[in-house]
Amino acid sequence: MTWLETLRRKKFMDPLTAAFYLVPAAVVVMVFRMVPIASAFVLSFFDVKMGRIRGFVGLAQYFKLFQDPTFFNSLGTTAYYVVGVVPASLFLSLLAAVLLNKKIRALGFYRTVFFLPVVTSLVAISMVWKWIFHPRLGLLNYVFEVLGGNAMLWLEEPRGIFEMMASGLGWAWWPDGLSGPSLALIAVIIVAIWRGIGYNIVIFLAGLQNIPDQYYEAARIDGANSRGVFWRVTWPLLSPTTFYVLLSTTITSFQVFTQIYLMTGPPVGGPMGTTKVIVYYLFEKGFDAGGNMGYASAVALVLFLIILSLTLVQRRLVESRVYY
Amino acid sequence: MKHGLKKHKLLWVLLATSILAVSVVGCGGGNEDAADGVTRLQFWHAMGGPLGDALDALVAEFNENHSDIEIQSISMGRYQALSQKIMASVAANQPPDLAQVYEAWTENLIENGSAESLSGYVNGPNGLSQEELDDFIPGMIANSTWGGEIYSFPFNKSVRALYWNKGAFAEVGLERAPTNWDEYLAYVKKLTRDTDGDGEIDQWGTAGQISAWMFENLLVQNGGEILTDDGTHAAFDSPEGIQALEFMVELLTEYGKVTSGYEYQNDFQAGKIGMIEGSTVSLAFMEGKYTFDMALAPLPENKEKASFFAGTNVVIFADSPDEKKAAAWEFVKWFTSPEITARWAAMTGYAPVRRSAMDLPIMQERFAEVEGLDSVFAQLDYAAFEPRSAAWYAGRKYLEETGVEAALRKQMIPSDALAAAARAVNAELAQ
Repeated sequence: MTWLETLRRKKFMDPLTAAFYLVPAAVVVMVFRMVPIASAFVLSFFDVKMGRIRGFVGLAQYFKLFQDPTFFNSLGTTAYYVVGVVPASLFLSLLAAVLLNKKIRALGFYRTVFFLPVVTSLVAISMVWKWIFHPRLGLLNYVFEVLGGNAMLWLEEPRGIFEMMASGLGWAWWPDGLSGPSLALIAVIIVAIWRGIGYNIVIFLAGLQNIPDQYYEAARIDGANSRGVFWRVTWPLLSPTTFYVLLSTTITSFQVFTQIYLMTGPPVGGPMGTTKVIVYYLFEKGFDAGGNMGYASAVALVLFLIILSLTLVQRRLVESRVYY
Repeated sequence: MKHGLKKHKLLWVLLATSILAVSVVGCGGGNEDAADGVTRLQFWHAMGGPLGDALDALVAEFNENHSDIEIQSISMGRYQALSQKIMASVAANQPPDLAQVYEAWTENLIENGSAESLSGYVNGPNGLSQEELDDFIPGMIANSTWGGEIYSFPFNKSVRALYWNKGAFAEVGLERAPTNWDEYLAYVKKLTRDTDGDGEIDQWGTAGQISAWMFENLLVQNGGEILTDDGTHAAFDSPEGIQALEFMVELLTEYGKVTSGYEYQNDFQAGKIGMIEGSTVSLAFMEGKYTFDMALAPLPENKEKASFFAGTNVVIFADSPDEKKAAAWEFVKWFTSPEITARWAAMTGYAPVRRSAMDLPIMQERFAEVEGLDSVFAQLDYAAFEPRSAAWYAGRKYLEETGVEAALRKQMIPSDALAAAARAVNAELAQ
């Protein structure tokens, strides 16, 4: 009898087995998540340039951050992005999921079509959409012109969309602070929604299929119409899924980076910095020339606190309406 | 029971293998120098495309002629990637031996103690004589000197040039490139026209991208300065600067087109643009891609002749073993010798770093091949360097993004755009 078997006899084995299975993932999470998060927290109090720690600076970098107009601009840009992506993505993916949950022909085909962008490389997606939005050679302006519309600058348009609408209506003046997100940012938002709904649809579909059929049958026997069935049965029973999708989409939207990096500019974050979201701003400070890693860490920590508090607020506000 | 044992054995094996794998990865990266008497060293750079090919060819030649040294040329593709790799390698205490760097990075590396002072090598037995040092393009060695010590060495430096389409010029009766701002404006006006009579303009006088570099050149040509003399405040928002930006906006938006990135070069190569400004290195990228008669010219002058260098230097890293540092210096010395810098310049369009290189047959042949290249390199006599502090490097972004871009996209008038850019730059310089 080996010692392993002894352990097994003493019912020691099960937690040990569990530990074995957990170790690889735990190591990966520790090395690539927890340790970097902890070091970012520590580094935000140090002056770090080009890979060397130069000394302790306390809260100086935070003070600097709160006086940095570019920081606040990029926070505003990120807010526009989140507000642009989250509700639209939730609505469209729920709508598509409800439709895909019906017994229609070629269901598998439609599901594949919606899910394809999710499994396609973001680099490929960004390159293709960059071409679609190209002011002179792009598909979108071609279609617009064929339909008799005006070509637009899309990713090269720094003007805010509200300002553009106002001037489209012939108003000569529009308040400076209310020009809204640039058309360039809207273009990025469109791609983000298009890419993201496939994933959300799958989650919603799983949620929809978890709702037992007897509720629908009962509702039908009681004579509910389809709108009533949706609002009285589907919507409340789907609420845990909706809540999860809301949280995860909000968090990933705050962290948007790759698309901005690949689709905008040059210089990235352009035109005129109107697509410079907070994570790109962090990247620019920390990884571009000079490598001010301490300052970038401070930005990361502030972003972390923002997302954390927003998630807590969402829980407070929304969770009471979630039926588990 | 037996089954259970097998399963756990497998788990142990898996665990052991993964620990082993991790430790092997962790131990890798050390330099396993063979005892064959060859000093191997890593040279990190950002040269890609035709520039990377040219550099690799020269490195291979150096390796062939030096049986005891092997330079491993590693391209990081872009300057941004290069800066990130250098940063990470310094943090991990595993820097390369030699790397291309901008002045702002050099400053940070010096403060980190990561950059080796080259003064010892320059003045040492395998160094350079005063005569040789004086042969360098004026300002280049000074631009590599911090606090009396030489820390970097000029490697790939370019200046701006005017590329003009001789055929398009001839069609409107022009025979030479503009030499001053008035001619510049008059010529682009003439060149902007409807060539096929359909009522739409299909040839523009000029084109360009949003570029702080172009503005800086115009600024100094107009008698302005980038920063105040002590380097603590922006000086580009002066009347000279505003006039320069207004001129740039008129050129590029009335009689030209602003394109994203380097698209304007493609348009020029397609014969749709009369003339463009570009780096001398653009030549390497345009070579063989146009069918018309093209020539180069120096930038038109205004109150002053002025031109700014762009491009990088090389540094040797202090942490490398002495024999590698000596070998790296040997390469730097070889690369900046008149013969090699002339060949590098002929292959890429970068400026030769030595004056005597201009008279060598290889440069003379190149001058005969590319019309006007000699006059472009004549700018080297008065070409200047941008402020080189890390703060300016960060602030320069605002000049481009807030100043030049806002004006070129007609979101602000030039004076407002420069005032806004100056505020952002001053905030950066104050830190």
